[in-house]
Amino acid sequence: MDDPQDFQTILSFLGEAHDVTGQSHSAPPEPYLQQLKQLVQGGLSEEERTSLFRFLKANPQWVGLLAEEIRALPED
Amino acid sequence: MSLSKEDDVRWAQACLEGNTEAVEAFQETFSPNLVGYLITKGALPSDAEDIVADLIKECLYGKEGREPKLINYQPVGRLEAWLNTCAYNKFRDFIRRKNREIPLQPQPLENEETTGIQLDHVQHTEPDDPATDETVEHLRVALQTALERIDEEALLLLRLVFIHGVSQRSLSRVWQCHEATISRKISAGMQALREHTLTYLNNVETNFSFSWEDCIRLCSKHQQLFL
Repeated sequence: MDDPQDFQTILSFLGEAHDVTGQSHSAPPEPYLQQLKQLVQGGLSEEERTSLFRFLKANPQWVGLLAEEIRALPED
Repeated sequence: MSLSKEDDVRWAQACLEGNTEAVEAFQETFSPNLVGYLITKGALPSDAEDIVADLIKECLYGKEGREPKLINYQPVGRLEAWLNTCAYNKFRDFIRRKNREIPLQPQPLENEETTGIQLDHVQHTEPDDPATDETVEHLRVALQTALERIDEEALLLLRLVFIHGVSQRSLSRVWQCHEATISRKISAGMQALREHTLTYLNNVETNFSFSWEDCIRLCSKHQQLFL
């Protein structure tokens, strides 16, 4: 069983476009953009995290942006 | 053809008792129907005939010293539906055996129609088969439903790791937890995706049982249609 490959195949089958760079979209609505940055900085409450996760579930086009923010974190 | 489940039970019992008339009626009634059913599922006619002949013999007389398969028929559904399931399972076993005999490298396109032994190849030869289209549509709905049901945090982690290539170590820093916790959440997410998908699909597709590998193979086969 190859979970990464399976998951990619499923999303392709469902026709979900993958923006792996996260750079081709402008920006999510302001409150969510702030929450997204706060999540990466570790400053989100549990309630805000849940709200953001729900938003990203319904709007997966912004997950790439979150990925970029995480990658931009300095290494320990 | 029998009229009810009770008739099916009596018919099966008569066959098991060696009633010649019942056995002949069983063969004459179900053989052509089962062959036709397997052809709609992608089998070549000659393969379907062999599989059904084997199944009928197994049902009536047993195989390799085992009791007749018909003993296993339970009147929770019609005999024909039960036989369809048995036939399809034998067809799947047949495909898997054949696939193991074939080298793993991709088959040339021109060979696909003559090979006729890989499920996806067979479906490729009959793109307008309504059963195939229906199954693919069921799979699409099953996967969408499963994705909707998955915990939002697990789904986000699946996307971040498997689609966007974020490391679990980086995520453990952002999530402020141990890397193993991220790994467990991802595994649980995939497990939920598998379970929800198969539960939905096998409820809708009552004539045969899907495995996760079947789902992925179908997705892989049909993904280009949705891109």
